[in-house]
Amino acid sequence: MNHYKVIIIGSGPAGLTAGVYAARANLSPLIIGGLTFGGQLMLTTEVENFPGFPEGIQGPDLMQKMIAQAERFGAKVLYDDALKVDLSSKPFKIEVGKDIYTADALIVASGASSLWLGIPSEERFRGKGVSSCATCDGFFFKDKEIIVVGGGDSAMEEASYLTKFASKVTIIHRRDQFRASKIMQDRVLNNPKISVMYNTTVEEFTGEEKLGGVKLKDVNTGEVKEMKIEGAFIAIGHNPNTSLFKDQIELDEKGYVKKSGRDTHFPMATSVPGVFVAGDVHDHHYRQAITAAGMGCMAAIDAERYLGLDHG
Amino acid sequence: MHDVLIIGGGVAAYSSALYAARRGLKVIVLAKDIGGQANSTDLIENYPGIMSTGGYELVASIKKQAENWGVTTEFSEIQNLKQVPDGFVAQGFGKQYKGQTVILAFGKTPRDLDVPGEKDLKGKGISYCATCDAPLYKGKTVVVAGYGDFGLEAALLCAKYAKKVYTLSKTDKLIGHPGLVKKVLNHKKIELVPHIQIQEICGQDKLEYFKYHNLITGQQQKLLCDGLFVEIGYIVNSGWLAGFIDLDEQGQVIVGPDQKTNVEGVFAAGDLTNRPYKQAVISAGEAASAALAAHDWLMRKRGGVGLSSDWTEIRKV
Repeated sequence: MNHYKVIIIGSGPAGLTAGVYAARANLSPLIIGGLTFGGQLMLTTEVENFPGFPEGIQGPDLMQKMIAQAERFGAKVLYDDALKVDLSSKPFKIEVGKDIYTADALIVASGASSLWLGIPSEERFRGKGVSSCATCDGFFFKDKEIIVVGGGDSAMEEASYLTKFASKVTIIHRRDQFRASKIMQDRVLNNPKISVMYNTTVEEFTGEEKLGGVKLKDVNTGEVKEMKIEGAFIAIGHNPNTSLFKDQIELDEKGYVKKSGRDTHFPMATSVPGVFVAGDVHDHHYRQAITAAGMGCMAAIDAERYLGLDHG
Repeated sequence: MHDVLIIGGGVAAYSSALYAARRGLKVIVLAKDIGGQANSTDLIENYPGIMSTGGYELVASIKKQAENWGVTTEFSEIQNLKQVPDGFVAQGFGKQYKGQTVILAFGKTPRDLDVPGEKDLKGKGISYCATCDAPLYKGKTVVVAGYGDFGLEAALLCAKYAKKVYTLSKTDKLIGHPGLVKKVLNHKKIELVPHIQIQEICGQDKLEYFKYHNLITGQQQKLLCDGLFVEIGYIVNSGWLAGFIDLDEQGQVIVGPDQKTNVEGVFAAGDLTNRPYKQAVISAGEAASAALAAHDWLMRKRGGVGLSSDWTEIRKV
């Protein structure tokens, strides 16, 4: 039987914290962690702001610790993707590969993914110089000139990180000021390897087999000029991973899972009774590992209480 | 003038301090003591990323992390908070602290017995944290005035160190988890003293004995002891905020979206809020949100661009 009291979709801080709590409540949860498990922290280098790690910790290390912790208390982790869900009747059905898993309660913690610029040439050079993961691909740009597109903290982080490898990093930002935090901005602006082009957008990536340059447009004058680069990192934001749940759970206009708000007994309840939400798949505002973890904990306690009330 | 006054000394206080300081804000933590409710446990296994730690150790590590970003702590019990034209003033004993925003994060406080003598002998033989202080009573005689699992766990912990533990009950039974009750009743060092009501706690500079009366016979008696552990649950010690900050019937601070209270510029996070579940990781998460929201509010007030998140769009002022 592939039946579980609680199934958790997602293995970032929200999903794994939910896993730790559900497992400690003796619910023996199944975590459908995905082929790319660990969530966005797997794409992060040093995490300095997760409370409890004064020396900082590498993103992937933190996720490994959370996985081990969830497994220690009896959570089962599946390193495969959920392909389809049916939440129209109980138990809920989740399709993974050729198998169908059923659950009395479901915690949606599938997170968010990086946004792309959406221009045709970006697609063409993806994996050939255009990337959204500095941590994954930075090493390949040793001593090369690259750009980072974006103006938030993640753009600043990627730019700082990439100076370890690249000879020169130019940040391309479409507005006249960054929206990143002061500390991150200071770090970037004081880094001699980094320069910034404000009021600039990417028109086109150019090159033969591999990325060789970029056409940049000044948004004020409309002037377009070409710049030679060998790498481009897109750090412009994220999209919720909710395609599985479309038409099954209520989503907001941006596609994030909405909390029902009507049931104060279950803070993380969604529009479907028995389905709870946690992390970036709901929260497009704070998006911090620790806020996601806090929500994961609440969703697990919600699920435990929901099952205890014999709704299962 | 600080940017942010943080009132409290536990997980929520130092997590919000960490986040506020990383945003480049000038932060001061006003703490009565360090640790908060986390002190009531010596084993935490469910804080994500940390397999096993003590409550105090967890708070100490978050404190250190915040200090790495320039956060300082002032030991002060805040008596009053009021609004002034350019921010807020928090009043401690003999000292005032000014800040443009405030994050309330002082959690829950052990409930007092509320009997004569208790105030004078706090910390002089009377303890509200067996986890913190039980080891100080090695080979001594201690009394546990407890209720529920708190009381039972405290008695078992004290029995590891003390030579004799009296555990008090107003009836002839102990209330709590059946497994714990059995463990306490079967323990050689622990003696149940039934039908007891404490009347007065006495001692010169330190606890010497307390007077009690027997609820059945009405008899007045004395019990000599070296330590008295009061373990009767926790309350939100928020009376001093009443009339300024909206509280629920249990004294918990009512928070809306973004950890806002009813007063603009005052935020709250952690166990003192009216959110239903009390866990360290939830407090830390809320604290991060509160700090980012406070930063956002402050930036807009100063006419700048609001930014409360690392990655999302700019919200127009």
